[in-house]
Amino acid sequence: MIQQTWAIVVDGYRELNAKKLFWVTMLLSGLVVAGFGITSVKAEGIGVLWYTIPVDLPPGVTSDMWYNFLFVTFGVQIWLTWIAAVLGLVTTAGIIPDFVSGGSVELSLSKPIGRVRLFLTKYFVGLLFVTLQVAVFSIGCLLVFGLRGGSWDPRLLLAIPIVVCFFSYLYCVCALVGLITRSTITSLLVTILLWFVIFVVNASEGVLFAQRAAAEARVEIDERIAASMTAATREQVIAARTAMAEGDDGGVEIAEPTDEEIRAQNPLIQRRRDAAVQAAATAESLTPWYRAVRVAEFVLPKTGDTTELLNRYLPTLAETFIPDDDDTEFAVPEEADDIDDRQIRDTAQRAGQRAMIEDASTRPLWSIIGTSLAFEAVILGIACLIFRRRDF
Amino acid sequence: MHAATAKTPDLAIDLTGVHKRYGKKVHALRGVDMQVRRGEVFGLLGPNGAGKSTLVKILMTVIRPTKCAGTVLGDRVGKKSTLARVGYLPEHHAFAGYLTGRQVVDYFGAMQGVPRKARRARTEELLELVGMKEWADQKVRKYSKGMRQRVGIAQSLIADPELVLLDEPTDGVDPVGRRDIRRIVEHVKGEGRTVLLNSHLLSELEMVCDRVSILVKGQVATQGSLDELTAGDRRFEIRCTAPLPAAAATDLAERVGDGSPTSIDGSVVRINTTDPEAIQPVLRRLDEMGAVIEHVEAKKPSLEELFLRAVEQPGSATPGADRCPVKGAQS
Repeated sequence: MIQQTWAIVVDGYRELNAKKLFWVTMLLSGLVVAGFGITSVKAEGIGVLWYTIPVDLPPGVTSDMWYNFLFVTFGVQIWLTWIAAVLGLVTTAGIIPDFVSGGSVELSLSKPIGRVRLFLTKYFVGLLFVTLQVAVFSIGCLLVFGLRGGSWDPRLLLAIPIVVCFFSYLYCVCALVGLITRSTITSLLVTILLWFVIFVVNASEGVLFAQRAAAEARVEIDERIAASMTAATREQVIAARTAMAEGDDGGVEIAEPTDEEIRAQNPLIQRRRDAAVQAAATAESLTPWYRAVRVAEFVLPKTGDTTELLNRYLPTLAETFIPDDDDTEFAVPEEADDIDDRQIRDTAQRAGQRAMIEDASTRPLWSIIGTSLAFEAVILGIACLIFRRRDF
Repeated sequence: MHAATAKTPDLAIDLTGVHKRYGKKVHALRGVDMQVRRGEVFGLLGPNGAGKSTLVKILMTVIRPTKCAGTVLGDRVGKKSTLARVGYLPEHHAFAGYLTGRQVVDYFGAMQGVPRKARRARTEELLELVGMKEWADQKVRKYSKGMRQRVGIAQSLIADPELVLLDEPTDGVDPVGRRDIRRIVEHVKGEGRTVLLNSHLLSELEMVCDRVSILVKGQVATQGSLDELTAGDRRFEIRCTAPLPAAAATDLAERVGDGSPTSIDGSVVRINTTDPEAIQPVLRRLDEMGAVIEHVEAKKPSLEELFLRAVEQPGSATPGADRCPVKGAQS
């Protein structure tokens, strides 16, 4: 059994080795690592070779943070999960269609190896491309960052399982379509289309979540302002009535102002309440859309969230761009006339963004990796069923 | 799939009622019964679309039968572990172009479970046998069709199989290559292996096969050894230098020792017998009649004639052959 598996793995490596794109991608990975290596953090800014680019870095930025930032933001989230992933798909999309094409599959099927094991081994060999690419890239970065900046952070190697996981979500679909259609180009196009759908769903979910949270924040701010205004106006009315009663020889009981009297005294209160009602209606109208997108997102693999996991485990500069709590709290001014609608809206938007970032960064691992792997398992299950039953 | 039939140690392949349907319209195999003895070279013939490759693929688990009762090397058809003892060269095979000939043989040896050390030794031996040792380290994509066939045959033998199934092994191969492949088949048979050969080249089959089966429209039209299949059509032809009178036919027929039918066609006398003793009185009578005998020949139909007859007259039974001729027979 091990002998057959090893033979397929070696054959898979030989296949990749024969593809020029594999080596082109490897070379480009090397160039990206070298590009990281020529940068450094200096007191005056960012060093590139012998030059210094004057940049105002946030206080407390260390070499570790800088290199982790480069690694996660550019290395993983741009290079590995976009450019190298596309190159990886182009390189490996043909593995399953070539395998099941006439003249090739008969020999493999005629050997004493079960069909399901044969297909799954071939599938995992397809992941060899990205495994080798990301391993070389991560180890290269670890060495360069260590030698250049003294930053030996083995957590960089977490990129290997994370990026392989991310790639496998897409590659399983590529394998299924390749098995059904026996066409490399069709499997590639369908996979890229799915990737685009996942991206749109994720982006929509983020936007809807942020907008809904912003609307809810706006309700809270407007209600808080309305309550504050109501209290102030009530005091003003009582003060005015007290002054009037003192002028009338006193001894008269001061009547508590009604809501109508308070609203009549300060029309801005009603305006704030109307704004709160409108924001609540917005939040409510977004809810069904958000839920629908959330369901779609739950079912689909989480490509973006998976690669974002690196941010959880590697301290980077990205944290410095998260809005502060202070930015999302609205300080109600003492004078009601000072309230600026734009200011309220901006504060609510910041609160929405913060809620979105917090939601993304606190989602449990099972809901990111677990549901994505469940999707992959279902797709592979369908593929195995087809492969097991098909006549070639 | 049905349960395996009782084990028959003298048969490498024993099939009964193999059916294969594709949907409701296409009935590729309609109850094939076929028996292949151990140690023989068995030819599988048939026109295009007869179901030959489908049958071979069923034996190799590439295609799932709709209905099948039978055994391969004593195990039920479809049992994966049995395939470790079976070699296979498919028709229109496509080896990965990035592999060398040596790597192809080694890879399929590993897939068949041959230990590494034995695989290496066997690979060298087989590359020598098929005449590919000199080009063994060249990439397959640079090979000619004939070279690919040779490597294909080598990989089919890597696991030291008891049974070898070769589907069109001489397809696209030049006459010298065909001769070499024929010699390889004879060598393989000499080692005691069973060979099932599927080919369109009837003359090639005629030279190497012990027995054949002709498949027509998904059914076995006839099956048996060449002697069995041609028994009813054997005759002696006596060619004279001048035409004989038609009236001599009756006279000559009365003199045939075993009373076999006799006819005259111009200068040729045809006697439907396989017994040389029986024609001696006829030869003497012709001499008495003053006829000059030019040529006497024992004639039997070629495999091509048998094939064409089976294809064009599928209902015609071939004397000496039947659907299950070897069950229980001495091998």
